[in-house]
This record gives sequence, structure tokens and C-alpha cells, in this order.
Amino acid sequence: METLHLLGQGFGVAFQPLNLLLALIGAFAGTIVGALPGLGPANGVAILIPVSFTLGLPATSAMIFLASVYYGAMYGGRISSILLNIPGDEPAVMTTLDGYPMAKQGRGGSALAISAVASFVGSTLATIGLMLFAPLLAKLAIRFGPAEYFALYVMAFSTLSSLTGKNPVKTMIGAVLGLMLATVGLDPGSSVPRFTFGQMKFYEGIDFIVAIVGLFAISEALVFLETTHAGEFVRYKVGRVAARVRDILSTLVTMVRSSVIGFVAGVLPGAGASLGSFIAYTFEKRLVDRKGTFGTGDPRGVAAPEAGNNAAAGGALVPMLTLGVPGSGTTAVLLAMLITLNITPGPLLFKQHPDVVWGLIASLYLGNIVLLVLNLPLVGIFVRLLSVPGWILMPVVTMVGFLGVYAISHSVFDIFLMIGFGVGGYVLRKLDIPLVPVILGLLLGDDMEVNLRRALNLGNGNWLSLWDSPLSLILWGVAILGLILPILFLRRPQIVVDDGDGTED
Amino acid sequence: MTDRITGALLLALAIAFGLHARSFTTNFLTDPLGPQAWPIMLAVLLGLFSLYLLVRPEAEAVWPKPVVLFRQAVLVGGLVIYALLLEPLGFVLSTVLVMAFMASLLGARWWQAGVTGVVSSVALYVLFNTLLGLPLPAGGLFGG
Repeated sequence: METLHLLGQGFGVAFQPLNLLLALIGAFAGTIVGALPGLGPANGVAILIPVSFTLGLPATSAMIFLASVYYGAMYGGRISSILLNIPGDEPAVMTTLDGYPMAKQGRGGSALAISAVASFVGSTLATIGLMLFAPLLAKLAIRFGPAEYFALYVMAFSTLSSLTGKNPVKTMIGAVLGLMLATVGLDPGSSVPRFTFGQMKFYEGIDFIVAIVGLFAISEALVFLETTHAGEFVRYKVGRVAARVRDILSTLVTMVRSSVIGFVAGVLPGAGASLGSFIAYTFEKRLVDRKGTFGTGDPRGVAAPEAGNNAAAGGALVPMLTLGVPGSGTTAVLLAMLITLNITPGPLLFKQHPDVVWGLIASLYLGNIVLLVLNLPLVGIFVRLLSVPGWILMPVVTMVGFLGVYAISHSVFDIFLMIGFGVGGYVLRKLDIPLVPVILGLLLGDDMEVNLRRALNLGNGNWLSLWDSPLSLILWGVAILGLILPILFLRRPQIVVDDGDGTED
Repeated sequence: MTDRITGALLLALAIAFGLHARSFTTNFLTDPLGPQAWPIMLAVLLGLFSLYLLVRPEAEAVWPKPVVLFRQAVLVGGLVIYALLLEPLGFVLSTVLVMAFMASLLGARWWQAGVTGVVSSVALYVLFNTLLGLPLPAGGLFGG
């Protein structure tokens, strides 16, 4: 009952003309971001953050805008997966397996339609899940003290390393590098300057936005130079985008099942949408693929990963909003924006800023309907965009990121810092050190240190006080399991999704 | 080999980071840890992980061919020059140059690059400066 009441208020926020317009633009921009290969959701959201700052948007509206971009990217990724066999973004990798064969058999329109419906089912179920579970988790998290928070951060990094990346040690290296970057600036406890090297600019710490745009957008431009050759883009004509009702109905069970799996995968810190679509696809294949049709253009093989990745995207919002611990690259970027707007996600967010939370949830419902329309009858617009040549695309994307950073600070120093992060990010990607943990470390570093010091202070310097409460013991237990399990099951199947790449969801 | 070199460099970083952290001192003790302890803990962690890389390196990284590396260096150089020219030359002119430069680096013909530069920089200027109300440096060309 309370939920319905709050949701009603949320729709009040979502139906404000500005927010409605932003959800519409965000959904449109997001689908483009997803559809264009080489421009992933984290990247797309990152370059649009500064734009939403310069617009002077209030927090709720900014969040609605960027979350719509995020959801939209999950829809858009499938388009080039199906038509070109090139995933538009990482979560859409699995969609190529059955989507492209369907397109080759002349059923591309049908594949696009089924995947659009699957995306809609996945996102909508995930938004319902977000609405039901996030407040519960927030109620639990309100009992967290500093010791529990510290344990929670440790757990986030440990599950991150066991779930993503090929080499857990490299994931941990990325996380520690991020945590180190976070120590630059005045020490939160004693105001001693640390690692500032006399640069006044560093006293306030490294700006998240500068680091994120550099790590994602600039390093992507460098990768682009390496992988893309001129004249690679082809015009593609797609027939009528429609599927037989029977095809949709026969995949409906798959969609629902995959949505549930995807949502759970998304809630786990560190999993994100790539893993959601991967697990959903493999599970569905094991469960229903009796004739071996998966991989040869089975509609269920298109429905499963698309429902899975969209549901995971919604699920990843749960830990970000309730605990302030993002589950994926894009939610980390969203967290950076909230922090910069002086809104601290966490259990208190639900009490202090119900308009942000419920306005967002209501907007996601509306955004999903917009996205279904954009991706079914209007999908032709995005298909046409696939033929935009790379030499227009890459400079424009880079420049939007550039301008955004300049717009926030009007400082050439920040631009140099951003270029530096870009080069550094590129080197890390080459070394298979994933970028998402670096960002996570940079974002969470201050809070992690502050909570550790606060916990020790409360415990009079006794380290055992970190393990005092049952809650923190559970969190530490999960953290340790997260570190040990991958060692025990080292022979786990190699995940197809390449998480070494920085543009992971 | 790449992993070994990475491990060695990271180990050096960890040591430097940890040693530098020891210089953070404060006169009054605010909490049991103080400003040093956390950075030192991080340095120790990074040291351990980098030792692991040194001992158990993985498959070789694939570095781009020299031609590509050169093009990447040119791109980074171009962006740095752009940042330097942005304020003196003004937004429109410097952005025309950098956009055309990036487009031609990606294989556009000279006229394609030129059109991309002019159209996109004017469009971005109108979008940011006029529509979004974000002041961009106009530069001498537009009367400062």
C-alpha cells in the first residue's frame, strides 16, 4: 500500500513536462549509444553527465535523464548484434549468437521485434523488482554502522574480482589503483594533504567526472584507431520489423525466466548486464535446447540474453541506490553523478530524497514504454545510424566528452588530466586490467577509509571491533567466499564476454 | 613478459607510494589510524598483487603495430595541442581544426574531414553556447 502511494508520488514527478521530455530524449540517445558499436552504456552515460550539469538540471531530472540513457543502451545494443554480427555494446554479445543467424535467414525483422519485446519484459520486471526490493534492502542497510560499511566495500571488491575479468588478481590491482587515486587530496580525517605534490588543483581530490570521461571516452578513441578501418561501415536494409504473435508468445516464458535470472545477477555487486545476459542465455540453452537449435537462429536464443541484460541493468540499480555500492560500470558512473550533485546514495536516500528514488522508478516505467515504441515501429532510424562512418562518429563523441569536462571546470589543467587518464586507461585495457574496478575504487575510496577509521575509533583502536556484529560477519563471510570460490572452481567455463575491456556495462 | 614488466613497475609504484605515505604526519591524533595507515595498507596490497604477477605472469598482451601506435600518439598530441589552443584561438576555430584532424586520422578524405570539422564545430557551438547557455571561449575571430 505504502509502495503504491510512493509510486503515485513518483509518477507525479515523472509526469512533470521537463522530466517527461528528458526521459524521452534519454531513451532516444541511449538507444543510439547502445546501437553504435564502440560506444557502450558506461561511455555514453559518462560523456552525457557533464552535459546534464551544464543544463543545470536538478538531481531528480539528471538521474531520470541518465537512467533513461542507461536503459536505452540496453535496448539499442541488440540492433547491430542482430544485423551486423557486431555487438553494439558488451551486454549484447550473446545476442549475436542467434540474432545474426536469424538475420541471415531473412528473419532480421522478426529477431529485432522479439528482442525488443524481450528487452521490454526484462526492463519492466526489473523495475518492478527494484521497486519491491530496494526499499527492503534500504531498511536493512539503515542498521549498518561503519564496520558493516567497511565490510560491505570489501565484499563489493571481492565479488567483483570473482565475477568479472579473466584474472582476479588483475581486477584487484585495478581496484587498489582506484583506491590509491582516491587518497589524493586532503585527508578526510586530519586535513593533511596527501599525494598532492604541491598542486592546489589536487587538494580537493581527483574529479570523478574528469577521470571517468578520460578513462572511457579518450581510451575508447585510442582503441578505435586500432580496430577500425575506413570504409568498414555498410548500409543495411531491414525488412518489416514485426514478429508473428505466435513467436512472441512461444518465447514469453523464456523472457520471464531470463528476466528473473538477469535481475538476480544484476543485484550482485560487480556482475552487471554482461553477466546477466550470459547466464540467462546459457541457462536457457541448458533448459530448453533439446533439438540443438540454439546458435542457429532460435528465437528463444534472442529473447533470453536480451531479457537477461535489461533485467540485470535494472537489478544493478538496487545496490547502487540502497547501499551506494554500484554493481557495474554504468551504475558506477551514475553514482559519480549523484555524489557530485551532493546526493549520497544509501539507505538514507529513501528517507531524505524519496522524490529522487520514486521519480526515477516511475520514469523507468514510462521510459520503457517509450523505448518499446522507439525500438519496434521506429527501429529503422537507428538502423540507418549504423551507416554513419567512424570518422564522423569518433571525433564527435570525443569532442562531446571534451567539451563536457571543460564546461564543468573551465580549466585546461582538467583537460590535460583527462587526456592523461585516457592514455592510462588505454594501457590498463591492453594489460587486461579492467577499468570498472578502478572507477569503483576511486569512487568508494574515501568512504572506505573514513568508515574504517570511524569503526576503529568506535572500537577504541581494537581491530577485532570490525568483526563485532553478526551483520558484518555475514558480509565478511560473503567477501571471503567471493575470494575463495574462484580459486576452488578455477576451471570454470571461460566467459565469452571480454570484461577486460573498459566499456563494460 | 608484459605481465612481468607490469608487475615490476607496479611493485615500484607500491614502494614509492608507501614510502611517500610515511611523510604524512599530523600533530594531533584524531583517530587511531591517522593519515598514513590507509595509504600504507593499499601500498602493501598492491605490492602483494604485483609480486603475484611477477611470479605467475599470463599470456602476452597484443600491442598495436608501430603504425597504429604512431597514429595514437599523433591523436594524443593533437588533443593536447587542442587544449592549449582552445582559449587563445577560440572554440570554433580550434574545434574545426581538431575535428578535421581527427576525421582525417580515421581515413576521411580532406574535403570530408573539412566538412565534418566545420559542421560539427558550429553545431556544437550553437548547442552548448547558445542553447545550453554554457559560455565557450569565442576567441579573436568572433571578437573575443
